[in-house]
Amino acid sequence: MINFSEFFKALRVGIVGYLFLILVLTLFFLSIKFFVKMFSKYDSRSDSNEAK
Amino acid sequence: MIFIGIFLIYLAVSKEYEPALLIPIGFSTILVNIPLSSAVDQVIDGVLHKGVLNIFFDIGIITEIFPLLIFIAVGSMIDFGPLLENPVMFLFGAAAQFGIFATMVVATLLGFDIKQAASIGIIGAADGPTSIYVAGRFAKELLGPISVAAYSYMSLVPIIQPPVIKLLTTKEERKIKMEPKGVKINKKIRIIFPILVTLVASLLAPSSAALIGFLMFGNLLRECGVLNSISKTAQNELAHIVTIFLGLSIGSTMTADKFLRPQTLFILLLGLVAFIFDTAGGVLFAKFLNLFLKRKINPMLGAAGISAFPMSARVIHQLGRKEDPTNYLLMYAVGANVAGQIGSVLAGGILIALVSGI
Repeated sequence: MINFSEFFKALRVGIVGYLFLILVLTLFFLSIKFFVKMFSKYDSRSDSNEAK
Repeated sequence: MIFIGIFLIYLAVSKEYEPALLIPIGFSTILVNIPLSSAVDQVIDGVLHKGVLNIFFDIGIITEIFPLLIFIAVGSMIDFGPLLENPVMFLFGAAAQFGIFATMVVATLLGFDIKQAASIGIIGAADGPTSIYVAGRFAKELLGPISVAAYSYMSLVPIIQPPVIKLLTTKEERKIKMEPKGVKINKKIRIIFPILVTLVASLLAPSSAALIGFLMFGNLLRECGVLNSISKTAQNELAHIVTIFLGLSIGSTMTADKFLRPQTLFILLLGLVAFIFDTAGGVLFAKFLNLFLKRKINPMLGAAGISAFPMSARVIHQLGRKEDPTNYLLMYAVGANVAGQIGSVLAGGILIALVSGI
């Protein structure tokens, strides 16, 4: 016997949970991209200073 | 049940299915099912004599200490460099957790309540400690079959993933080449990364703080550069010792009344469904992204977003080489794979928060 109340609860948790997970990891993606860019710029600047 | 214990040891020895876990689980299964075994709780003359395996279970699983210690070890083993070089792989680490949520919904159709369903769905995390952590919280009675399913299917990734990937991709898509990026990841970023991930994940999903925090603490030990011997201890001695006790503790739940039930068959079946959904979710998400990208991504990389590390990355790399021997997908696949490690841990935390709140 299918318990539809549990099914709909699970469906709600499933949709909210999956979308939230994608949102959080998208935030990671954007912030890491930013950090990698920022630090590589900083590093290349300090490299060129050392070269001088 | 004693035969099941022997069968698990056989699988571990002859097929090499996660032997580090299945041998302790199998042996512990034998021990708990011996009549009047002193390894488990016994009531003699009305007095409770605690069995050592039940004590391990109470100390390590009920308190959640063993899976968390394993996370320190796992974190110290993972090099997040390939992910930092290609941060877009984070998206696949999220997409390939689809199986967790989809299987949870399917499990409720088979009569499981939502807490049990969440514990079964988390098999799709393809990550043993996360499965044990969530099942230990929500469905201790299902811990045995869930752990066996999680660890067995992780070993079967090379058999489960290729047919699903081939079914969902064309030959041309599988041939898409991924050029190496050549981005240099410096030490500062490697040190900031575990701290940043812990902060962001814990602030957005506080219930995942322990899981993600211990994983990232292990990684900080590895990357900080001043604790090399401690990092090596976490990777070797800590991992091995805790794995022994974790396996023995899980085996203590493998009694006939808890294991020999139709539910166990459903759990084993749903575990397989979860891995298939994970793979499909990752591949389809990559194909969806390709609709908007000028430079297409090889959609097989989406499947590497499950957290079975490094097995899944190897499978994707080999599939790519089969289609085009000059295609070198390994670093991208490893990036997606370690993103899957973070994704699965976060998914566990999110599930705990959402299901506890119901």
